[in-house]
Amino acid sequence: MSIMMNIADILLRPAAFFSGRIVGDKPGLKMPLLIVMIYGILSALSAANVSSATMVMMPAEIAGMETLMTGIAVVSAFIGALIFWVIIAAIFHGISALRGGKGDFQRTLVVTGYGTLPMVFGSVLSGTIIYLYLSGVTIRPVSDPMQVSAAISELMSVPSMMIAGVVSLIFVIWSANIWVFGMQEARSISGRDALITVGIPVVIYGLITFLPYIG
Amino acid sequence: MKYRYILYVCCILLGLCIVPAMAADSSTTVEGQLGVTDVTIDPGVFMYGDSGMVKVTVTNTGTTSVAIARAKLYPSELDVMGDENYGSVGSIGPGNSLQFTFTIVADAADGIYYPLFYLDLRDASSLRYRVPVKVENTGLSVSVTDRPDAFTSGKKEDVTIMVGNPWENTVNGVVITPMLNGFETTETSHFIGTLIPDQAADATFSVTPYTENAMEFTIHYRNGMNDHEVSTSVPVTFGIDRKQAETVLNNIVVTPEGDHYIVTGDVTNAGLEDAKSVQVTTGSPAVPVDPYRSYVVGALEPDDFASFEVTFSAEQGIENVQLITNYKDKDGNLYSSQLTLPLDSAAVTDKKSPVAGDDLPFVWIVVVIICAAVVAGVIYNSWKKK
Repeated sequence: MSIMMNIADILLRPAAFFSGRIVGDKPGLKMPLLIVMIYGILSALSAANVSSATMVMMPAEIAGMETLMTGIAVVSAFIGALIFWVIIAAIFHGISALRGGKGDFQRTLVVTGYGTLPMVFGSVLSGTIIYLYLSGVTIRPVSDPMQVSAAISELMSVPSMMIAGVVSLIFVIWSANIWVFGMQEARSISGRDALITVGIPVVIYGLITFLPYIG
Repeated sequence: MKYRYILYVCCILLGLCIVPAMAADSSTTVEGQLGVTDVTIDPGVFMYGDSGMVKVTVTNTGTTSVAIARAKLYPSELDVMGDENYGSVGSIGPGNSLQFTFTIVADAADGIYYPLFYLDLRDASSLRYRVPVKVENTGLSVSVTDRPDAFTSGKKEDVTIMVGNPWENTVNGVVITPMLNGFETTETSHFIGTLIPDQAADATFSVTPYTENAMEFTIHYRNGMNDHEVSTSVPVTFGIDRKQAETVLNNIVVTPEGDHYIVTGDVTNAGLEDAKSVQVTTGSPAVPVDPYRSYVVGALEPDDFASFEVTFSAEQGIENVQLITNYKDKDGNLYSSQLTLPLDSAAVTDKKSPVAGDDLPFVWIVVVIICAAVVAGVIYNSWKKK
């Protein structure tokens, strides 16, 4: 019950959740790590799904390596989630430092980890969209290796994939909201500075995600 | 005096006896001078209705001329013409020969006839000689020595006709002519020429039947100066040639790629004859596309096989396409076989994209809107509570 309450607080009342929770230089990393690992597992599942689909496109010579390639994608997605956690925390920490932020990096890491929780739900939803899309679509192999890249780009730029990206971005924004409140507590900065600290990377992320669709 | 009369009477009686005897000796001597030294019959054997010549050579082997009144050939159930030319022959000198030629027409049944050559001499004697003439209606022997097991309409096949001469005499001008009743031949006729007794000759015709009418071949030949003909027929029944090449497709794999399909497989010649110019392509509703609109395998010997690869495109929703195999036989006759190829085992394709079937469900838009609303509400609420 307590966990459920905590989850509800993180999602709906982040200010109240972080208030008094980020104590000391070394707050507990267990729960944030668990959230990020769940996010990593979900990302890995989604990556496995996409990898299986893209391997169908590969020429027959490469298609035999489907297991290996899918394994690499799964591991990369899982480790990528952990790396993403650390990197985004570093970015927040760096920007907040420029805005006069104080406090240990682990405090930022904890905040960033908690803030990843909406992205877990985002991953579930976008992963479901991708799974349903790939289940209903037929993908043909491409014998010319030169065309594989274009074919994968085409696969990723279809409307359903774009919807999945939008859903992910919406939940990233939700996470960003949590990060804003968390960074105020973790780095002892104002709401405006926390908004700038979080806003800049999130906007860049949004642009990176959607520029290919726009361009 | 009385004895003298008796002596005269005896002498007269003796003389009366001697004169006929002397006359008889004189006649025998003239006939003995003449003899039939040669008889030529052309043709050697007559067929019913044949005309021919009988040449009789008479030689005077004596030392005095012999006067001949007339010469005649008396028919023996045969018609003889030309003997009126010898109504007044004249004489034949010592050591000379005379040839008498008669025309006979063999309008009689098979058998040997003996027309009588009769030479009437002016001294009331004559020369007789019977000339044997054979009449036999047995014609040339004709047989079909080679033909296909079954004909196919429009397919060129070889038919071999053998002509044999079972006669005693030589026939010449032997020509085999196809009658072209429902079939075509490369050769308009085949000239064999002379056939000596007990000789046979073959003639092979490349025939292309179009109907199931029996093929008629007529053999024209001459017996002496007489034209004859004999016919033979080759029954035509359309069917499947048991030896013909037969292409079998197997190991077929249909692989969609880009905007088209690739079909690979093996084509095997399961027949007993060579398959020439083997080609594999696709038929409607498939549309052959580059790079392998049609794959030319080439010649396939019996039990030989080769791989092929063809490419085609097909509209979405098409379930089957035709895989067509064409080949020719050694005469250039074209054969074709089709194999229905299901596409359900292969991924359905569209013409543009390697990713097919992406329709944006309306529900996703609704989900996005709901998510956006929820997140906006949460964010608003979290800031409001603060």
